[in-house]
Amino acid sequence: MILNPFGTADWMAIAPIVALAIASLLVLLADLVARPAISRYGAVAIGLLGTAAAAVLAAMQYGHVYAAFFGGFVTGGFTTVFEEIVAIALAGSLALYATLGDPKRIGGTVALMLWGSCGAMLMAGAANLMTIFLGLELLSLALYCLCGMVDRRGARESALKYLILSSTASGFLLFGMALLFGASGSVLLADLARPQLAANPLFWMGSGLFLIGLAFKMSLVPFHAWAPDVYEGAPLPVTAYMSVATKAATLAVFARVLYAALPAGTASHVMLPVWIVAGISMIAGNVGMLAQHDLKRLLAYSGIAQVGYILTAMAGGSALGLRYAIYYLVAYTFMNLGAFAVATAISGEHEEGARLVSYAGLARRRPWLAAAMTFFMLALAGMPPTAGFLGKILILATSADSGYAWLGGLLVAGTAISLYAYAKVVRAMYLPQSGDHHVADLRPIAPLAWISVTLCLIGVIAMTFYPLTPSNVLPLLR
Amino acid sequence: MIAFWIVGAIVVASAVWTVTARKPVYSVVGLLINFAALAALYLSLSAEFLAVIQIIVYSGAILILFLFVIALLSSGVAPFAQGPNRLPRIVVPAVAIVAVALVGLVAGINGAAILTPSVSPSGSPLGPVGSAGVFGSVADFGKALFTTHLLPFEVTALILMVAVIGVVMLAGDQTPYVGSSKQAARVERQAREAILRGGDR
Amino acid sequence: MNPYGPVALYLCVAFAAALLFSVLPGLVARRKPNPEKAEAYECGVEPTSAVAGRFPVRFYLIAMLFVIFDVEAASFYPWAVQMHALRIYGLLEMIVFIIVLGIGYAYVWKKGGFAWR
Repeated sequence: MILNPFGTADWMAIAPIVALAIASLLVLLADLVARPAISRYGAVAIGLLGTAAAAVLAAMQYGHVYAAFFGGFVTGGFTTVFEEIVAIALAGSLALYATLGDPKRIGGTVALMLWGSCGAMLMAGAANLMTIFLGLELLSLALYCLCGMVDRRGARESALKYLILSSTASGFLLFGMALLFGASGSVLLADLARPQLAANPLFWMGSGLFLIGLAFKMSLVPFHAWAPDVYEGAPLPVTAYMSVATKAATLAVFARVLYAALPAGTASHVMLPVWIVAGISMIAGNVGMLAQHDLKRLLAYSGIAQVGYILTAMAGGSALGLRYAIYYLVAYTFMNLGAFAVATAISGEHEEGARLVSYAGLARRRPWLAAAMTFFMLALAGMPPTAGFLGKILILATSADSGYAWLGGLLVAGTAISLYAYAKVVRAMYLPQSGDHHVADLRPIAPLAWISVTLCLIGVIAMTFYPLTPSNVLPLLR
Repeated sequence: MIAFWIVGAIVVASAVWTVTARKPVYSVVGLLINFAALAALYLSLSAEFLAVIQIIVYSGAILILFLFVIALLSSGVAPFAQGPNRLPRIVVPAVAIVAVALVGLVAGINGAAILTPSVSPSGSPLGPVGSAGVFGSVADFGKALFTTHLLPFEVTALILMVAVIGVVMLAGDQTPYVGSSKQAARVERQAREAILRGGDR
Repeated sequence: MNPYGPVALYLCVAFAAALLFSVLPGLVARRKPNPEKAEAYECGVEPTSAVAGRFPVRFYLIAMLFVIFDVEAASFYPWAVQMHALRIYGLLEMIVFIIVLGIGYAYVWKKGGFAWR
């Protein structure tokens, strides 16, 4: 006789994930019964309702620390913050899909997006190796399919590249997990923090392989080559989602490992390669941006560098560093989603507004859109009146405090390089172009893309004036 | 112990055959032997459930997929004259280094006795397989799966769903509807030409 | 003796039998080679193309769906072993699992994933 070991608290902990899963099943059912004409907005509406429900349910768990499912999923401030980031990314991408989506496939697409977010939220709260891996696979599998789900050259290539390279990274991750399990005899992250593990070679090999897997998913520099190609081929909403949600979810796992799952005193040794790689990413990502003529590729390289900035904040392993990292991540979420929303707003019927050529003269045709794009670019570059600037200052301060001033120096150098690349977008919009490029006719701006641009703008501005640094994100485990 | 060495030799030999066989179908047969022998190894580690899954899913379902891919892509293609791929020179030292590292690791593990869970995490003793309440038995596995690890179990349902929907969305719409055999021949000819051109579609 | 000993014995006998029956004809059968016999038999018609033709991609779709639902079926096994011990609680867990995949099944069906087009 086996009794039910779980109570209400366990189910409440994963309520946001359950809400998303139910919403996606409803989307599928609605897609089966609805006429094609209504299913596009219907599917997105159900998706957005599910996202809102998930966001509310996640917010209800704020500050309520509880290890559900025998430590499989931990709630508390940290989990809530990352769940909300995923929810924001999901809502933004769904809104973009309402503008761009292929009506024939919208049901399955929205459902896949919701499931992927289930995986990302699972990673946000995952405190054992199995939950981490399953969450990551759920997210990645959904993204492989989403990348290829458009009839355009390059989409299938993008999906295939992502599938093959990302599966290899998952292999590394899984092998690392196996060795870590072999070393500790437990799948719980908390058990990895036991001091006797520091002398175990299996622990060192395992954590090395594990970190390689994570570095790939975060697209840090030696493992970054997939990102520009995959971003370029994927549909715009998927690119927007990938650039935010995948990074946030992986950073959540990384932060939990760094802050709560390493034997005392080993963090600076285990993580040293990660900091070096983050430093290289900040330089290489920004240099890579210079040569790009496609907004998606440009933002892919930008994302490589931005993850480096966020990791710089965590480098010391201090609680303050984590708060600043989260602050910068939230600001980055709004900036990046905003830039992709602008790209969606200027997309034509057959061509996405991703090539820099299609921004030529945007300031004359759509002055407000151009102004918003300029603001997002300035924020991504970290110029003074924006949240990006504030975030970088905070990161610099904490990296100097914790003895990683060299990472701070690389951050400053990378920022200087990146200014030119971001300015290229702005220049295209404002300066009159010499050649007469073919510019796709603008469609009337879809309301949802407009709303997303506005909301992201509000988000970035609000972050500037009210530096939202959740103070009780620690403790992460227990 | 003798069984372990015999089965281990079969595993290695079939793996070598898989990668060196000239015809892809032979590689699949090699893989089949490999999977079956791996299942036997799992049994010797008293991982009953894993062995059953290995047989049902891998040698049952996954290999069918391999066969279909081969039938889809390589029919009419002559067997490789040179072997699938000439190995680059770097491979030999790389394999040697990995082999030495693995042997060193295993020796290190045995010497330092790092792996010491004589009692499984669920508290049941290690022992002969087959009966309930013993580490690795299906009954024990089922108990853990439906109590401690219920969350991962339900998440697999979602992962399978993603795969189902993804397959249908990606491959389902692509199949053109053909009304007559004449039309079918035309569609196939076009597809063939497209493949020969190496184009995207 | 190892409880899986009989299984190993069974496998050995099966292999030996298969091997025997594939080797035996070569040893004892009378051989009368003939070019007509060497040709592929196709309902009495002259063979027109290579035997191994190209398969349409729909086979692959079916195979893929088969793998997925095969994995699903395999998840029933540990539940079936513990069904009585888990009682109504285990049944509910399994029902959730089946509902999720049932909706996927219905979706595939309605979208024509099982149709032979």
